[in-house]
Amino acid sequence: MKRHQQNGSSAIITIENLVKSFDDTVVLRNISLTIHRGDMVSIIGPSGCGKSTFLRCMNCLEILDSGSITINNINLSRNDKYQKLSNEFSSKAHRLRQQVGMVFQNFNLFPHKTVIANVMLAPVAVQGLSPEQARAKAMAFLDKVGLGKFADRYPESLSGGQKQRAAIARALAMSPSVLLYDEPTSALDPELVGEVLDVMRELDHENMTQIVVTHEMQFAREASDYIIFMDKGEIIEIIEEDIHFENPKDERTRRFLKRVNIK
Amino acid sequence: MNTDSFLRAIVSVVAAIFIWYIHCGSALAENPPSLSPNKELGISVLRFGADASSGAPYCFADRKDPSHIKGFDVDVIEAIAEQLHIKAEHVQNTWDGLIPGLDRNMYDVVIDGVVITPEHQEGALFSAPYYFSSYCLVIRNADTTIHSLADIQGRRDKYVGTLTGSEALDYLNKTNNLNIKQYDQEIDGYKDLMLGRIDGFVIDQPVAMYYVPAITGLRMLEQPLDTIRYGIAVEKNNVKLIEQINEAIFALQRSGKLRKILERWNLWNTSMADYLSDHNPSAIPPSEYKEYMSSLHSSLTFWERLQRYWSFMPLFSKAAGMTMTVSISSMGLAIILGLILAVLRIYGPPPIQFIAVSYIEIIRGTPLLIQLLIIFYGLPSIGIALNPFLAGWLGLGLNYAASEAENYRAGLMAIPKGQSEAAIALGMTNWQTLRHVILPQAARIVMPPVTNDFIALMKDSSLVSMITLTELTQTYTGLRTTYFDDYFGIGIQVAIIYLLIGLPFVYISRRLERRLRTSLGKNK
Repeated sequence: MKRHQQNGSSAIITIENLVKSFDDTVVLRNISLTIHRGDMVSIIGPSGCGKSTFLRCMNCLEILDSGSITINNINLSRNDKYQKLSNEFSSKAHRLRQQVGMVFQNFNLFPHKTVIANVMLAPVAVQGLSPEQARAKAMAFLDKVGLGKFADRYPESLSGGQKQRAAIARALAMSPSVLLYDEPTSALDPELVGEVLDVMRELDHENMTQIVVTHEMQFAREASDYIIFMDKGEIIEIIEEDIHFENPKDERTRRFLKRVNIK
Repeated sequence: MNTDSFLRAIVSVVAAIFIWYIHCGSALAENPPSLSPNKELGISVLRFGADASSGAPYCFADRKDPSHIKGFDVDVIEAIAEQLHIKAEHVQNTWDGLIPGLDRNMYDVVIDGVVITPEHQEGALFSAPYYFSSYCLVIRNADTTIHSLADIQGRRDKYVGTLTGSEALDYLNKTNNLNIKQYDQEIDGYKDLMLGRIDGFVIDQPVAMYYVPAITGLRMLEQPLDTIRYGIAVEKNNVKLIEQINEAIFALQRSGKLRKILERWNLWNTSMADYLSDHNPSAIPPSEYKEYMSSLHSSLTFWERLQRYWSFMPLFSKAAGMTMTVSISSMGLAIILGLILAVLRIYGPPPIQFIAVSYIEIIRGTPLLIQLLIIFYGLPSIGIALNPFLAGWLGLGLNYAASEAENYRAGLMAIPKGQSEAAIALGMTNWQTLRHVILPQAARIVMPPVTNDFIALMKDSSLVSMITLTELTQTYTGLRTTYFDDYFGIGIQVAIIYLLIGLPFVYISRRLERRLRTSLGKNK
């Protein structure tokens, strides 16, 4: 486990009593969590444990039922899921999304646009940058993820690893405070996983706050400041030290880690 | 030759024909002479509604020059207009729509073999009769079993045909025990009679006189069925006009001009002689009748036939221009409205969704023809009288918007959810997501079905002929009535024209599709 960076840095995400359900199924039960600026956090847990939903709640792709989410001083709170969403809520959700970048398992690049056009789109449409400014900015981020040469290619012609790096560049172009990754390497061939993880490591060195839902236990262990283990919609355990990863406190964590073959 | 260069060749040929048409059109354009208006009526032109495809001898396209109309009704109304010191001008409408067209003020009078009946008098004001005639029964030459309508009456295996919406139909309906079949065009009835699908055809005597002698295998029975009186119809409240027309008719009767017209057309009969107490022997040769009959009997060589088809081309080019104009502009309306409907149906709040779905279902579930007729003839009763082009444009556009909406909905639904999630996560609004991410991708998916719809719309545009737009099908119907002996060839000709004007759009669509596919990076 990487050295903890919490010392002195301020909280960027504060989540209190978050509850989310789909119809009658409760997916997240009363989750509270604080994440600090510059943290690299991995979320692990068996499938169906609610880790993806938790991530999606953080950028309002799913709207929480109750509780509160505060990111970069933008606070969204709700009493229960029947409370009607006000215009104020929606506009706050919109502002919040601009603070939070998201990288998806299936990349979700726009197939009808070139790589650089993918990266430029939101800066031009949302932030109102001129195409020239946006292009320069987009090019810088593509260079950063090592895709400068591929700027004018269409996503179709890229490898999986390249696509995911392009997706990261696209998210970065909106200058988010937090980057969320929803299983970013699950759709990749094993030999392409490394190039994506390298980009994430580099961003961590630049003090980007990153939250990763992942099955890459090795990466989670090496690169994260701490690992959140979730099961049945709850945070079971927060593993902050290697020693706990070897020997978790909670029985459920132990069983899960055993199953995914990590010692 | 691959399909692409084939299509390109077609496009250039069609373009050439249109340029030629525009060239001819400008050469043919006539300047209407300036006329002083009739002081009593306040009009300088007497617009008369008549269906040029209803056939001889009333009003029909001249065989020598199918872009001109002639007929004894045309001669009568021109003589009446002359009496009123104004000029007569023809307005084309389908026979069924002639009387309703008066209420729409499409023309001032209707003259097209319209019979004065109590039913007709409810819908329009009629002049004094200008001609008396009767119905007659047309049968097969070889048929010796039928001597009168009574021989068909009560026989389950015998059928009698007549024209839809005609007074002859009313007459037959009042006669008991008849199997009646209705036809839109006389020639279709004669054709069926020859083929044995019906056993008799009831038609106005003048029509029979002009058509039956030319059809080998048919003859008309001498015995008249029922006296009929032809009158000129005007809008119900236009008493002033009908008085002037009556005066003009009486003047024509007194001066003998009416008789001259009737004699030229070989229509002077004993009923007219009795009515006008004019039993003098005929003085004028039936020149128009003879000319018509000789044009029927002339048998054409293959080359002459081709030349005749070629002579239709200016008329067909003009009609194809109308078909294209109404089709393209309707498709424009359908695409825009369809897109709005699709977006509302998918993304709108529930009440709006309901309205969009209702619109789509109602429009899809009712026939286009009915919609067109409601727009053209129904709306005027609530004060909205659209001209034929506008009505046709609106009818086709509103109708196709429903199927376009469903195309787009399918296209929009086909875009994976991840695409809109990615856009939303980037901070884009719903509208930005739709505009930059969803619509451009959906456009590629819906291109083939939209092209298909456009071709379908172009063919459906033939229905606007029912609301008096002279487009390809209307022109075809008119020509096939005029040259009924060879309408097989004209049918193929008009089918080819439809095909030719549709192909460029297939080509354009294919190009567009390829370009969109290229921009999706799938051209490797």
